[in-house]
Amino acid sequence: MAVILTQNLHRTFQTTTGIIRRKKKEIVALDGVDLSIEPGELFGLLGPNGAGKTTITRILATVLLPTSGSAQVFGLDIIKEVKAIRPRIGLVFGGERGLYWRLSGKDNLQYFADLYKVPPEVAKKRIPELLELVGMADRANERVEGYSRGMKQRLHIARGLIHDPELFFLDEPTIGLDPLAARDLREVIRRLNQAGKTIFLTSHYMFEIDALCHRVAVMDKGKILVMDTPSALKKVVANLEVVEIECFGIPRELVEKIRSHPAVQAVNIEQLDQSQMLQIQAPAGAELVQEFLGMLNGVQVRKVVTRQPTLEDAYVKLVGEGGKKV
Amino acid sequence: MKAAHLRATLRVLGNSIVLQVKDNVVSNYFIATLVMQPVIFTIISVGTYLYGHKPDLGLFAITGTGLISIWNNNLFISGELIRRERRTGTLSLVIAAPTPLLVILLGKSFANAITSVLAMGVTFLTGMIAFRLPIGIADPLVFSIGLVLVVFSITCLGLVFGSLFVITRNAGEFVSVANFPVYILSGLSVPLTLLPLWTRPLSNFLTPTWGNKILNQAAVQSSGNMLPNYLWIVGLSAIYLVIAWFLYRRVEYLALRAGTLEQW
Repeated sequence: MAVILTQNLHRTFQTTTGIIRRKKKEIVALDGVDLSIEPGELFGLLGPNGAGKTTITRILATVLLPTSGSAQVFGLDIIKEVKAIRPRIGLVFGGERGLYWRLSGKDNLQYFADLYKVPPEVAKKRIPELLELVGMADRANERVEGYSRGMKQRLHIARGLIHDPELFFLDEPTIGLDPLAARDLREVIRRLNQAGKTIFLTSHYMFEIDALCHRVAVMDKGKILVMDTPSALKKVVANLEVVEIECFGIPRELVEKIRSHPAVQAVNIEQLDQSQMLQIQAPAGAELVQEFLGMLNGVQVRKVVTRQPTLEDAYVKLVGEGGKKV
Repeated sequence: MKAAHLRATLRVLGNSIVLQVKDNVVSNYFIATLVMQPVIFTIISVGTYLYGHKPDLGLFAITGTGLISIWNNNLFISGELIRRERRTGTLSLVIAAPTPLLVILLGKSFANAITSVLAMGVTFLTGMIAFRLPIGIADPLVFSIGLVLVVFSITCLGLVFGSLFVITRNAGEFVSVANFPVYILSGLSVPLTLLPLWTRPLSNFLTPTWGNKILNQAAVQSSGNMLPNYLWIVGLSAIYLVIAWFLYRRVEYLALRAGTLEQW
């Protein structure tokens, strides 16, 4: 039986514009999402800002209702059987919010253990274990307000695990973390999955999903565009190679000119500190580098690299140019 | 199973109280509403009666002002609790937990209410120091029982108002306005006898009315049957809790439907 099953899930939000003549506007956050996630799976959801990742996470975690469609967690309806679902799921959102800053890390865990009705003798044993797991044992008695962002994020993970949930929702858990802290957190996620937890992970970072997940869904504008294993998704770009050209001040019309080249499959431009990175997907072995450089005549080029495509390139191809600007 | 469930719920209640007290002691806002506000209210209220040559109402002004401070403190801190949960991003996490939100807030609000008894002490002290009023309590036992009951009951009434904060971040504005009629109708700022008769049923439905009667009577004389007043407070507390129970279930549903739990 699937741990998560959604059918034609929709969610809209209403916003208003204007002060005197207020107009209501409906925003579609989810537009007919079908998902099926098996026990023990580490499932990744990838998409740009506003794709609907957080919305679907909140609906499945029972803190938001869908507008229409159905969703089941452990075979239980997320609207009618909330009480049976909540003790079995853990929920962690990215960012620094979601903790009591004036309390110590340990007090936070103790409080959430109470809220989840964890027996005191179990909580007494589990809290030090979790603090050890997330590497927070030595700072557990300090107030949360003095923690770094990475420490808060690790404490979030421990908080989400305090009642030993079978299913764990992680909504962009590594957002804003430095590379080392993010790597440590990914290792924790991997270990949790190896311990048998089903994990629903949303992320901006393609390499993170590639490194961790068994299956991945790419989402944009409230729809699932594609769902498969990371290696299968990479086949979308299997016969391509990526030409990366780092340059300074490339005009928009030149980007469009390259994009309209018949051999080019996708173009993405990424703003670096001082320069731009132009990523061009084109058939492997097409020997197009000189042609592209010719098109960039007059633009200062710093570096040119040709490489094999990654999941990130597959994502760019699927979501389009906007996909990378997350 | 039911006994284990009850024990777990009581543990949440107890720990919510402890957590809230820990959180309060480092909050400047709490100190301001607990100390500064009662001092100012007492000076205005007692000063008005003395200026109007009604010194016999001085004690009435002090108990009334004490209850106003407890009510204000409870209402705003309870509202602030949810607002803070919203701001810190813990509201949706708390709602996602199996413990009902009302149980959590009852514990936290009661912690605030217990601490806010200090406000009653501050009003008495202000009356004694600022106006040299000879203040004594004729029946300390009745006064103390009445105070504990009314504090608990005000907590329950505060929860009814506090439910609004779950559904919208703008509840503070409504509560600020709704706050005044409660203490006017309860006879805390002016004696009930000065209010029109048609307001009496409304006054009866507000627990500070009965609390004020007990505290006033116990402060000036040691005799008198307080049982009806106690029963009113207990009965009203039960009614408030039932109303709050239904309200929280409803507003939680509405907040989940509107997707407003994360707005702050």
